[in-house]
Amino acid sequence: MRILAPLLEVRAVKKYYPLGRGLLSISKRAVHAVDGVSLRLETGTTLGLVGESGSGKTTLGRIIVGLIHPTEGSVMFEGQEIFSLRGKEQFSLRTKMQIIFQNPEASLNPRKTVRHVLTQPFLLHRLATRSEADERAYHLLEQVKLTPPELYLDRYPHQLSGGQKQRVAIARAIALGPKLVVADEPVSSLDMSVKASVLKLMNEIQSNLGLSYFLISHDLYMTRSISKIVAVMYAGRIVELAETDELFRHPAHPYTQALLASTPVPDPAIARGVSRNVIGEPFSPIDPPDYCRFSSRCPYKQDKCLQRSPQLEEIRKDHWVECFFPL
Amino acid sequence: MSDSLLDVRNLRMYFYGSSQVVRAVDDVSLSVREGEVVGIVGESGSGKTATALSLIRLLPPNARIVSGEILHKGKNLASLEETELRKIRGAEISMVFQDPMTFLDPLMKIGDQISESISLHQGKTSDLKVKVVDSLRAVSIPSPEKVLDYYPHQLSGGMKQRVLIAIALSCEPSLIIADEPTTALDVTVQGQILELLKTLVRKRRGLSLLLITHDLGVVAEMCDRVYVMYAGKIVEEADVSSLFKEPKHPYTQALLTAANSIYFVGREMVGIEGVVPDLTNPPSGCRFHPRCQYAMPICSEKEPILIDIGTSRAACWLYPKK
Ligand SMILES: Nc1ncnc2c1ncn2[C@@H]1O[C@H](COP(=O)(O)OP(=O)(O)OP(=O)(O)O)[C@@H](O)[C@H]1O
Ligand SMILES: Nc1ncnc2c1ncn2[C@@H]1O[C@H](COP(=O)(O)OP(=O)(O)OP(=O)(O)O)[C@@H](O)[C@H]1O
Ligand SMILES: [Mg+2]
Ligand SMILES: [Mg+2]
Repeated sequence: MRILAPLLEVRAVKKYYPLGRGLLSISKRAVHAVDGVSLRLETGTTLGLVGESGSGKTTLGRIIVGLIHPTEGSVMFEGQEIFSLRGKEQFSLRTKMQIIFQNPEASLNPRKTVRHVLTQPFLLHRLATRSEADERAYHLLEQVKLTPPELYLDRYPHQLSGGQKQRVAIARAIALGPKLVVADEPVSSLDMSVKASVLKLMNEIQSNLGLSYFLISHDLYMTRSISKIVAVMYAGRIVELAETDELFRHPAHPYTQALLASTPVPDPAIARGVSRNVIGEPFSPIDPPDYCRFSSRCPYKQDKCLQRSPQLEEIRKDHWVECFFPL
Repeated sequence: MSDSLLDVRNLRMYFYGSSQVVRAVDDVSLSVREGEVVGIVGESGSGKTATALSLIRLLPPNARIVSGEILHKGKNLASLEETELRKIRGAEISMVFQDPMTFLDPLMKIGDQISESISLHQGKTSDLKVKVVDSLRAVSIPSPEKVLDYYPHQLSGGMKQRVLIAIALSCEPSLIIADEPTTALDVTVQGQILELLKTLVRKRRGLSLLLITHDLGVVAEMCDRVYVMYAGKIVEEADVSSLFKEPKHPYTQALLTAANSIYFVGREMVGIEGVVPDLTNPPSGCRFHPRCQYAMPICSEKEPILIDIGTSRAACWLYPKK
């Protein structure tokens, strides 16, 4: 076991979706969903991945848990390249990494009860007998605060509210004691009053179990409440990466700044004073330009931005930005 | 309230199912004054859309306005003939929806959709094309002459929402009802639309906006006055600064605490346990009582009514009746 390896390391990952995959198609055009992403995540911490719709967050999250093969690049988990694992090793990796899907409707089978959903992991991995698995399911429901558990065990998804469904999805994700949970927009579809409770629960579980979260969201502020590090994604690339406080205090990429300025804050004194300067429309994700991808919307762009692509650079200690003219 | 543009009194609108009745709007009173931006905020299923659709009677067949008045410029829209109402819809009061495609025709060019709307309300005019281009320009659509010939699918979500706003504006209404106009959009695009709406209200004298949202941030930024809705009822009414500084109803307080705990660092995360009740069988008394940390015996027995508390109004037994 290599002690120095981080829990998760994403190395130069790309995912292209070719257009018109017909046999006779001569077109090489492709959607650049993820276009050269490198990241590290340490044990017990949370990395928040923020970006707008279509920026590639879900694609990256699914690559990390091995659900999608990248076009290029590799994903190392505890020092092992996950796509090279086979058989037993691959099977055991599945207990260490879990994903909570963006849409709770999609992550729970409508025809299976909560009991089925929560006992299945133990039975599938032959870690418990049926009655032991039942007991574990009961305990999991307690952990996600769906109590008393007997009230929920035999319900079907449609008999649960959105927040309750998400709690069941969290319970399933932590069932086998994973080291990493990729949570894809875990609270986006929830009402404000329920959002905070689910985030709080995720925090508690993290401190109890010591696991890491790869938390995907389009809401920068929501990410702040739970992440140690924040990565901002734009058009398939990480454009800024820093510790959460640093990122909020000194946002350096114009897009990060735009995100901060755009989010209406629940305080009239602040919200009424916002000034926004993001203009224009994003480039198409199909064959994006070979210069700065934010240039079509950037209020600060200069000639250089239309000639070459900037690269991620460290502008302060542990603060990385992909911009020729960081703010 | 003589300066009210719209005055809704004791409105009830129910959905009728095969065996159940959903009391989606249950004794709602609200008003919108000239030039005012009024918000209705509440969580999913609280009856915001149902209220909005009732105001212009754009209701599905199983819905019925059971009682109440919707007064607009001396007319009661609740009892107006459909033909009369059609003249008001789109001309006096227009609506902007969350999903532009519930309104836009996918098979019709943008320019044609706008011209249709203009000529419907203003009759055929010779300068129709100029008017259409102007209306697109008014919502900051780049190269409007080109966009005229686009079909909806050729536009991004933000651009489609702009087109919808252009259509809503094209007949110079006095009131726009916008139901979650930015919920489906990314924050930076949402920001652009909010800026646009603010500019329009500022520039067009007398234009009022009734903005429906579940986002307290949007309320804080946009609204002058706010109604908080819970389970088919208005539970609080306040001007925006009072609402955020001194929320009166425990539901408003809890919502605000939840929002603040997410948006401001260092606060302990606090949600509200439980869910918005089923409107076919709402809780007795105050509908919030099963989730309320201050619930007292009376709260489940008797329904509180809205009373004045300082400059706000709230329906809650915590406040003694004078
Ligand atoms: N299977 C696929 N085939 C082709 N294109 C795809 C596929 N999956 C995703 N894409 C495209 O890849 C890009 C990134 O998609 P992705 O779902 O990763 O974005 P996202 O950041 O998660 O967006 P959202 O916030 O809307 O969930 C988008 O342009 C999307 O249309
Ligand atoms: N056509 C319909 N038939 C029966 N019930 C309906 C119908 N439309 C809405 N409802 C019910 O009416 C209630 C109020 O719904 P409404 O759409 O007004 O909520 P909302 O506050 O707009 O919520 P959201 O934030 O999710 O849009 C809900 O319980 C909903 O299920
Ligand atoms: Mg996604
Ligand atoms: Mg609605």
